[in-house]
Amino acid sequence: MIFWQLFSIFFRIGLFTFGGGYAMVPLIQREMTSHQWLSPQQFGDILAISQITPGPLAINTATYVGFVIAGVAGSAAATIGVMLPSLILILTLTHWLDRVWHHPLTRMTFHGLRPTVVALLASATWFFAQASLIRPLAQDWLEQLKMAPLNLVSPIAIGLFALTIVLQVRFKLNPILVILLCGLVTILVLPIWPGWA
Amino acid sequence: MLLKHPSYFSLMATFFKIGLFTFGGGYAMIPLIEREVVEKRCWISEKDLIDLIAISQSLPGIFAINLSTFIGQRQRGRSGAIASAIGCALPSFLVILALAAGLARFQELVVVQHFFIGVRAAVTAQILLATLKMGRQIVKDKVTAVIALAAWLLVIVIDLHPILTVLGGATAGMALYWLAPTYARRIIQPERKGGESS
Repeated sequence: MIFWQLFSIFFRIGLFTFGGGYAMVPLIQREMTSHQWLSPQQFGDILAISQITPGPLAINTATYVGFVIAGVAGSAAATIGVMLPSLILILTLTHWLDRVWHHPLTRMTFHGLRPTVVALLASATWFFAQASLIRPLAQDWLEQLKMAPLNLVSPIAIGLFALTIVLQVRFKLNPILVILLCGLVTILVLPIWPGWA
Repeated sequence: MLLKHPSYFSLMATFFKIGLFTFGGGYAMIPLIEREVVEKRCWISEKDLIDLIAISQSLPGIFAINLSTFIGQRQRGRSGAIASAIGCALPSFLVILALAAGLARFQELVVVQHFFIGVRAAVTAQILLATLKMGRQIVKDKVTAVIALAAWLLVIVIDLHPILTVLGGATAGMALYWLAPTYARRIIQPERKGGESS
């Protein structure tokens, strides 16, 4: 049953996410592509909307993905699923959490675990780059790579990708503003120069 | 000093408000929690909040939900925890549902499609920045660099499942505890000191 499937998948995602909302991205991406529920582009759009709406990224994404796959009940199943591991863990472990927390073995376990989260995020970055910066590969892509490699990428997407980095690193602009600004640029530019997409 | 036992409703309402005004992930929630929970309502002290933030960051699950569950639990036990967690998640849930239902109708429009081309490029850059930021904080010595690199290779070459990747890292950490006690001591000592001073 789809609701049970959504619930159990998001429960698993909640249980194995360490280190904030972005760390959840590779896990969701893996589940969505292996079930063929969402295309990379669709998932990218959902992530973007989750960024510019209030609330924790993970809750937004779970609600949205659940809705796209199975309507309102689907989003309830996914959201409850993703929240439940936190609730269960904290409510059952409270009494000895403090002791386990400071145990050297726990510290070392997390010391080994954290770098893998970075690795997962790095692979998710590549995944999104493929969905956003690179054009869908045509049959003769190898030929194109030799003749005109720039045809393989979307110029406006590359430009806005670079612009985002500059605006956020150099000018510390609010990420939500940057997302909206980039969307506005493509709305204005693409009708005039469709070839830039 | 600390006021005792807010009602379930006031827990839920407070976290609803916090959830509604948090943009851009769980960490953006910290200043709001400071204002609403520590300063205005005096439910917990600033020092308690810092401890809870540290535990919430390392426990699995959603940071914001972990934090609100902890705070609710301190106030009114199990039911208080559930009330706070629901309050925290509810605004997202409602806003996203409304938006998703609306967008489903408009996604065929060219304007909407154009909008998302730019938006996707921005999100890709933001994920890259998040990766770099997290990497700088976590990958600090050769050992963590090797673990990160090995995990990355396993993910891209044999497409290792993310859960197995995380578990593999945890195992490597435990192995270090037993097999490299000198290194482990070096890692654990400063972390403890840091924890006590904060």
